[in-house]
Amino acid sequence: MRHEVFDRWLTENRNVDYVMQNLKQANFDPEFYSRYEKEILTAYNNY
Amino acid sequence: MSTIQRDMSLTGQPPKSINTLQKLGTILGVAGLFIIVLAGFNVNFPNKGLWLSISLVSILAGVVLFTKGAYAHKMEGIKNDGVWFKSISSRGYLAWIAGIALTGFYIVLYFFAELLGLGVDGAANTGIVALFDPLSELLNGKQASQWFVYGTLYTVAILAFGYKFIRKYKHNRYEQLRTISVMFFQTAFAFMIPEIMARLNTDDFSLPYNDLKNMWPLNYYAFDQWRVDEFINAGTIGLAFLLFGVLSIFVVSPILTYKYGKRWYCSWVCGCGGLAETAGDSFRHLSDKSMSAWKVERWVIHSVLVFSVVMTTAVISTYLGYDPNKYWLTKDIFLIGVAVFLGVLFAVIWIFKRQELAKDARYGAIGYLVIVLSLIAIHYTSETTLFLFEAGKLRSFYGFLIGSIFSGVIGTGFYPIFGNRVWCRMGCPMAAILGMQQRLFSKFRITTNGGQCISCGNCSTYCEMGIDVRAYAQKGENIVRSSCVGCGVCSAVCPRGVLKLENDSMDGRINGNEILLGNDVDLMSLVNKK
Repeated sequence: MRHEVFDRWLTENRNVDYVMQNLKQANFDPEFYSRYEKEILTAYNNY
Repeated sequence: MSTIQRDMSLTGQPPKSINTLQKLGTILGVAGLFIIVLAGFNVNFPNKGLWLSISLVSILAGVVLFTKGAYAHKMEGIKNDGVWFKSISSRGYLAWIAGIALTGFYIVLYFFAELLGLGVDGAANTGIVALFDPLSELLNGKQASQWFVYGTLYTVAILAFGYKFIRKYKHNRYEQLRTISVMFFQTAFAFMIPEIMARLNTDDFSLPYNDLKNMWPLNYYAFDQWRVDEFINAGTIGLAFLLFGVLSIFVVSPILTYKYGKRWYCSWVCGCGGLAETAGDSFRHLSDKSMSAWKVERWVIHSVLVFSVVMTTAVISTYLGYDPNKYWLTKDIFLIGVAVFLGVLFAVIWIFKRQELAKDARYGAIGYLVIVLSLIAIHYTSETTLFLFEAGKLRSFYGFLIGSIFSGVIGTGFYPIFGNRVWCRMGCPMAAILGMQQRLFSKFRITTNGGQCISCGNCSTYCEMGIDVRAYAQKGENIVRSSCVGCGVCSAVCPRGVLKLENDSMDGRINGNEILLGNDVDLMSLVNKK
């Protein structure tokens, strides 16, 4: 997870729902890795 | 796991010896090499095609089996077990044997090709070169040369060790794709396409051997007279190739380097880089990380660039001068053009990026510009002395010292002792150009999540260019270095995922001061808020 992005979210006092919606911005995997933000969001919403 | 581990370490122990599959792979691979050695001693193989095939397939299969033995039973992840203990990878006995053998092969290849069996003055080939005749006739219709042998072995090495690299780094998609790219460019562009195109050559129509991805200044003879003449005489397609060569230097490369950094070439396309990343992977940690190596590197590589520019300008202006009606360009216009281009480039960098250059870099740049412009002025005004040295002598000196010794003998022969990117780091003029653009005008950087860094030092150890990546990661600072080839291995061996190679806006790309370590939270005020 990209530290810059999370630091900004923490400073802005974002809640968990916002973070889960915008997880894509914080992606720090190397290039060409598979992305799983959609599945994470679905699992989170269905929990 | 075949052995029981009696210590409590999570990572396990490095293997004490190679396992059965690795032994089989070694036997097969060495047998393949042995066939070539026997051919070198003029052992007569009655069916050369068959024995050549057996040899090359054995080498490939040997490396594949060795790879399976090494990595198949292990989980994905960082695989540098025992690197500083194994003889081959820690400058041990095996490394010295390999280094001496490789260096010897290069010296013989460049300067004593008859020892390899090259037939001189129209005589048939013997020895090793003769063994490769069947493949050469199949591809380009002619007898093999020492360069064909070299090209074939080079391609086989990249394919075999590329497979090994892909299995070693199977946890990292970037490394797998990059290696496939390099294997493709070597096989298709450096080997198959030029060899098969040679079939098109007849008495009336002939194209020079053209590896499309091998551009000036890496290809120092790209604009030699014989080559330009052959392109011009080969009709539209020849001119198209010549134009492509020029465009790739002034259009394609700057655009791609701006968007992706120099990694698009050095790590995804270049043949030298291809061998370094695949066959040279076992030696990447041997690169010199010291400050003195860096100080030498930045002066030597830019000096080679100046030498290359001066040499090429001298060579081109000389033949433009001989035959003013044959070429579209005249000698005077060419020289003025080069001087204006270099002057404008210098001015642009000076005006916009002067503050990014260190003090000695500024003096060096001014000094070199003065030298080059004076040489051009001398050549423009006087007809007798050309660049103080005769262009032909300059060209052969460059070809010998830089093209053969630096790039071939030292660059590749010394892999097991000095690491895999000595040429790229210290000598390649193209690396100097692309690196300068990467540092001053590109979107590429390696972002670091500094707070996560545990200072293990893997990144610095496995950086083949000798960059102290850890120092940047500890501070959370972006890595923007002209020598960074974007191989991505630092990111692949980081146990915490601290490093990410990416392309993003140039604003704030070099961020020495605005670093984020998670230390800016005042814990007491946070606690007292409750």
